[in-house]
Amino acid sequence: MVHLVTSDNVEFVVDKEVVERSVLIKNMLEDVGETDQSIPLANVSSAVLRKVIEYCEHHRGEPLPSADADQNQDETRKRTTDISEWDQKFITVDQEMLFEIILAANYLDIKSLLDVGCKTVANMIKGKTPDEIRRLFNIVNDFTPEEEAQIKKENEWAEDR
Amino acid sequence: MRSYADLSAMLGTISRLPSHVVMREASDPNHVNYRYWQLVQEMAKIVQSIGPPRGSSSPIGRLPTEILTQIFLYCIPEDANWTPAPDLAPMQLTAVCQRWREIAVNIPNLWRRLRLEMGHGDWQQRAFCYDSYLKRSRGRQLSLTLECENNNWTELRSLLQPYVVQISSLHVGLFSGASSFPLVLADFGGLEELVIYTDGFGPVPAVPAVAHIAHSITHLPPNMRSLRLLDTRLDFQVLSSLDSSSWAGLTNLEIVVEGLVSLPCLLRLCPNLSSLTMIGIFMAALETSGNLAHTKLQSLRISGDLPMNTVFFGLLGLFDKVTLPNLRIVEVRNIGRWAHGEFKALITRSQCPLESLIFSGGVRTTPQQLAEYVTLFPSLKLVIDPTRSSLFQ
Repeated sequence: MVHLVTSDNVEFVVDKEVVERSVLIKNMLEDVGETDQSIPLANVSSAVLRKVIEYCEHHRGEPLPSADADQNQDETRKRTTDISEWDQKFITVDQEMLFEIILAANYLDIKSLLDVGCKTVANMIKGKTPDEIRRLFNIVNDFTPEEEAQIKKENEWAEDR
Repeated sequence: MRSYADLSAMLGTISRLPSHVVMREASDPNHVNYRYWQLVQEMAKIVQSIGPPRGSSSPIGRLPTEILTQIFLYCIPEDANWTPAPDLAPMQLTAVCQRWREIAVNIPNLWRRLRLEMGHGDWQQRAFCYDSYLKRSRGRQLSLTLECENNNWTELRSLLQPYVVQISSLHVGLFSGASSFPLVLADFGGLEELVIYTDGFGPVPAVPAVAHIAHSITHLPPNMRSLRLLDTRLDFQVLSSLDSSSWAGLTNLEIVVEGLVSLPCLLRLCPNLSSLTMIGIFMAALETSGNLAHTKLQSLRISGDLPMNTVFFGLLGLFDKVTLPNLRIVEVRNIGRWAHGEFKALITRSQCPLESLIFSGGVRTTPQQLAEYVTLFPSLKLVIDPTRSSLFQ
């Protein structure tokens, strides 16, 4: 069993096989060897780690994606944003939690969870106008009027059909 | 100055470094390793204490550039035939805010696919925008669709000239206003896939365009592996004039042909084909010389170019002069009475590992014939689906 301590000082005791879906923790355990000491995760809160562990539990035993799989995917023409039913249900959370899970997955190096998070955000973006995207994510439009005019000019050819 | 999001990402990168890279000298490796992890966690606390920038009310603003990059790549429409639009990635992403714009224009893979339309609107303005779009691909392989409704090829060539070696996939649509096709394919050094199609309003594009196409495909670029010539019927004379050395590299071919002799002719021309789709008229039985063994072909799809339910005479010796020892998948459509005897002789002669046999619409078989195939290949996937249309998708 592995002891993890979150940024808000909550300790989790997790099966090694489960927690090793995190490449970061897997490498650390390989480096440190057998130890009773807790692993501090100063970047991850207990609420987020609970979700991350839930994900890792569900996907326990599945093969980890290889490092070059990502590289290959970049070169393919189509990147599907399909998400399995369980993952979709799992990632149906508020925006704050969604982005925290993505950050935790990135920090802990859990590629499949990071992918689920990125696909979810991509699906939220698809088909929306820039204005709708800004409203959805509470993003400030920081373009100057000149820049907006330039962007409009850049993009209007695609409307001209 | 680095953003909080990027600082946070740096922390992730550092923490993923193996500890022995960080601390090489150690009398007690385990102690040093653990100290290293403590230091990484201390740094995490510092990054956390800095927090996201004040006034940043957007949770998505906390994501580092590398994660936004991944998200943006997933935003590209999955449909290969998508047309650029202001509400679709990548253009949509450049109009949200400064940061998104900077990230999006610096991801070359976002700008690798483009549909160019000749004959719509102001070409000069369009050409400027296409060029700005393609520049962002920064040398990456390009996948382009050209839709041509006029013959302004000089302008198109001038636009594409700087990108010719980048183009790995090219789909060309020749529509009613386009009567020529003067692209010299041999110039497209990086081309791997070419598809030429029409708008379906006529059986073939205008006759001059067919002649141009036939001329253009005589010599193919050295890297080309896949060629699909939809709607353009090539006769035996054209097939005979093709340059065998440049066609030898093809592994996938879809072609509309005339005459039974086209099968051995194509197999001879393309010794590395693994997949061949032939659509055409197979009415006249022609004499062919010699027997031909093709060891690479795995998938053969044949469709007659006749209306469904036409009474027809079968394939009339199409399979007689070939041996295909690696044949695994056969699909036939719209050829009337199935040439069972010829085909059975082919698979027996070839001793091929046939896995899948599909009879689609417009093919007449008997239960006894089907039973014979199952006897010959007990694990054969046999599909009888008369609802499939006469054309392959």
